[in-house]
Amino acid sequence: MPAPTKNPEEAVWLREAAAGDDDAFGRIVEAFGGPVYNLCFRMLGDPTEAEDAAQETFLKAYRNLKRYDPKRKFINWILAIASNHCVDRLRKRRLTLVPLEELSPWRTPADISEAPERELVQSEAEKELDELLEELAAKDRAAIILRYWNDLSYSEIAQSLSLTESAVKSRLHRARNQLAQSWRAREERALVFERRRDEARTVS
Amino acid sequence: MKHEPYRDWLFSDRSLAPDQEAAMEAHLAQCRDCRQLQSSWAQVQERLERAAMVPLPTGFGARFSIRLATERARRQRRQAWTTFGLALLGSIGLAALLVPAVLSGLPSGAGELLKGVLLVRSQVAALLAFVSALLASSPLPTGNWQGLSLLVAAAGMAMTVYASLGAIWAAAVYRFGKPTPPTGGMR
Repeated sequence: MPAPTKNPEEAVWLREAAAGDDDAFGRIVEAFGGPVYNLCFRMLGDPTEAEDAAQETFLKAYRNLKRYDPKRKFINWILAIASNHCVDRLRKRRLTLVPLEELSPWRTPADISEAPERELVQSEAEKELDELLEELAAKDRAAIILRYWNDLSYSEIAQSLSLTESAVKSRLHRARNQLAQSWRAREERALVFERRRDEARTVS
Repeated sequence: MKHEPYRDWLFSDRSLAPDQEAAMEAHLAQCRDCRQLQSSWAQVQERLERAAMVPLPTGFGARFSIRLATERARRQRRQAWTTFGLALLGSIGLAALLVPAVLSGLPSGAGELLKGVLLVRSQVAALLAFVSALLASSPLPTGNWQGLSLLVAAAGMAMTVYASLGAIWAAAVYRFGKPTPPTGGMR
């Protein structure tokens, strides 16, 4: 996935927004809403919660705009705010019991049955991926998303998640291993299921 | 079977040196477990790299503008309440400092004040008696001097009031301008 290109007007918007121009900040929201929303969506797995988290991210950015260091890429700064916000949300979520259906309303069977075949396949693949990501610890998940969806380097991920570069490497290593193990476990479960189904068909 | 360093290499971003690659191939040929993991990771990685961007929900920007306006209004309200609270606290603090001092200063201040008022009043009365005696011994017609003596009496009354206020002011300056002696306790 390509990294969002740096808009030449970005610096002007940021300067104007820092001076209190809401229209300039609106343009920033328009330009960076997509990557921020996507990160929140991948982190939280729920569109409503992702939108709320994305809006909170922009509010936090608005409040702290004067603290933004122009030497740093704005996209990395705002993704750092978003990922930390989502990590906090996931930690809070762990403390409260939420029914699984509420966490993933877009995955209802009705939605899938109405989707065209290609979308169905894509939706299945997305569903599998989201389920795999859900198994990861919040910061490991953030590291994977920032690496694969946002193309951030190790040092950028480290800066975003307030970790050292070696901690990022070890988190990514652990996350990849866990994703691979989970995938293998799924495949094995699917194989067992198919074998049993075939056996049941043979018997009947 | 030993799986390290092959698992490290399997989940690492960096490309392997030719000798490492050869060692990896040899290990994978023997190790079913690592082969399966490699295949699983390849499939997950493919999905990660192929995953599409989710479109931003319609009206996201408009909803954010509303939220920003609400946030700003809330912040202004909070600032107003903070200012009001601080002013109120300041007033209460000032009153807490002044009231005991006023209460403790009142009895002696009132006595001094009363003395001052009585003194001024007696001096003004003496002045008025002197002026009246002077007017009585004068050859000028009484009618005109009657009016003048009333005027002087009124001036005397006003002077009494001003003197009283001056005494209050002087007592207050004396009382609150004087440094209070330490009452002990922690320094």
